[in-house]
Amino acid sequence: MSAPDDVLFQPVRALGAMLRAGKVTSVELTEVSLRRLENLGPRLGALATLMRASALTEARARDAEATAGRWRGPLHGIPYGAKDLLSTKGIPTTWGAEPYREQVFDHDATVITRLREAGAVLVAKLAMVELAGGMGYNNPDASFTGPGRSPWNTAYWSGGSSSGSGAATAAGLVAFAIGSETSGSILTPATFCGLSGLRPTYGLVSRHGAMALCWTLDKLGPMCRTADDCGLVLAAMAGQDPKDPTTVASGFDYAPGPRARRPRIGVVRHATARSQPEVKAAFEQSVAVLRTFADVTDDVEFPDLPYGPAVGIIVDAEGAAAFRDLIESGRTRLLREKADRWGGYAMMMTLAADYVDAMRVRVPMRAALDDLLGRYDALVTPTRTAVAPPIGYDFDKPPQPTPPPAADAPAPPATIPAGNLAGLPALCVPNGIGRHGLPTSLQFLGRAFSEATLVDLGDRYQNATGWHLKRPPMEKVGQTPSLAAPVRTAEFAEPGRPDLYRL
Amino acid sequence: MPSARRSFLKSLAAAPLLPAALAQVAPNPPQPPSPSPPADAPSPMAESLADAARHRFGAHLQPGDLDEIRKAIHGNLQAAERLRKVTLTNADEPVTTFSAQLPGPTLREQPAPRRPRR
Repeated sequence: MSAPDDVLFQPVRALGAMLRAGKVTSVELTEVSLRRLENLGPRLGALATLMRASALTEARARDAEATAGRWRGPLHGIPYGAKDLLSTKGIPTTWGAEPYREQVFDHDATVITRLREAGAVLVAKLAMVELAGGMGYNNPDASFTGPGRSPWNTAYWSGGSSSGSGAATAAGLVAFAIGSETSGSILTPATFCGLSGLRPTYGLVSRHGAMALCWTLDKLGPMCRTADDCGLVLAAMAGQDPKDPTTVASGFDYAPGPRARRPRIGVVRHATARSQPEVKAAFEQSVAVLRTFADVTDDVEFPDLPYGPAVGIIVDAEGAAAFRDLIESGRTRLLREKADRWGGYAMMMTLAADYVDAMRVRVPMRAALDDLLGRYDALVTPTRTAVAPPIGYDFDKPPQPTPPPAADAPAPPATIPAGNLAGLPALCVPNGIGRHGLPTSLQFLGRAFSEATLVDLGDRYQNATGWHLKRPPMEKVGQTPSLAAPVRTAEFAEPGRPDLYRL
Repeated sequence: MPSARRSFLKSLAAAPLLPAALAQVAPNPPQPPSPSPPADAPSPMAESLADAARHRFGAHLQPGDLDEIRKAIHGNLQAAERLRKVTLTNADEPVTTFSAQLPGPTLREQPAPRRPRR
């Protein structure tokens, strides 16, 4: 018995059913994952470290438990990848950055521990934009593993900063992945790679053991094939952790069930302003689908507040403090992307009073957004107004610059920085194919701790559409040259013993 | 995507605010009477802060870095100016996670120190 090579395109829930039915084993799924990661991961710039030995050890243990009738839950035996900013005991955790390439911690991040306890099998540390983009990168080629490539078109970016988490999941190299978001780093790669991505409420998931870029904004969340999978994975990750004092006691129980009433959805005014025509058309079609099962209110005004400036100041100030030793040492010159090499010095000049004021304006922002979101189950917008940009171009110098909009033209609402500043959850799901064969995406933004509602809405949308079932053209991924460094494999005689690993 | 953060900040000078949606949004603050430099030129404040960066980190900088740093600082200062569109009073506290209580199990009450015997 062997698993088909494309088995990891199945949703987690389906893989779990196959495991329970004895149609496949965890070792078989893990072997498929390892083989695809090794062959395709470097072509997508998605792989930091392959964890062959420890993954197979874990998979064998999960199979043994299954044989004995012990099932840990819906993630039992499922192979997954983690963004390489999550600490893993004895295995390099590089933060995507050359200065930390040999960094090894002596502990696991809480989410790694929780996913292991839930039965998931960690097969790889996945590539990411160096330091989660905290130094202000200006080009997709911003990691020592090379630029992340979208499997839908490898000439285009997979998004950042969870670039490997997006590409590896979309290409069926893993069943799901963990990403992190400070301001867009889950939603953006999920969009550019055609995935469902869930940014949880701030405080729902412990960040213990995760690289800190911005303590008051950083969040960890799942990147999966379906909204339903996001619910399953989040349930395993969430919960209070004494090692992260920002976590709350409520946790997240995912129990899909009968729906009591029609949901209420608000379409944000100017949601498609300055969008690519294909993004706009996909969004309008999505709203038409939503109307079949929800009461939809059009033209909902989004509070007009300076979200972008506040995020910029907060990330600059906290990021400068978090990486002060790196910046002051001058080792930022080892970073890959040019703007990352000098960005920290500008960040260090952020004025303290400006930072405090940015933290003060978060209070009325949170109140205004809660007041609005209290009237709806979710607000919807396109997640990004454009498909992924190409590899090789600076973000501020696109190859085909669009004409500047008229001075009085409306701007799209800044829902990503707004949601992050207020700590709100958001779910994005694929909703179409735009130019260059690249995916477009629909965002559901909800009130704090409304993840169950968002997952339910995403699930209803996906039950009515088929965009989440589309697969990228893998034959073209296989023809893409591997530009990254040779695959780095962590071999362990005994997993978790730092003294025994070799690269 | 923090990259968008910096390019977003660069674009702020030309980006008009939408009509105020909330009471918290105040009218534009009065502008100083001094002659204003071209829209994209770094302000004197940005020049001064860039000079401080040069004093502090000059040994680590490459040719051209300082110009980029100056522009980035200028963008940050403009961003801070945009924050002032939100009216804040003396009583408006920042969000903070600081607590006098240590994380983890609740602190046990400490016994009062004994008074020295006379």
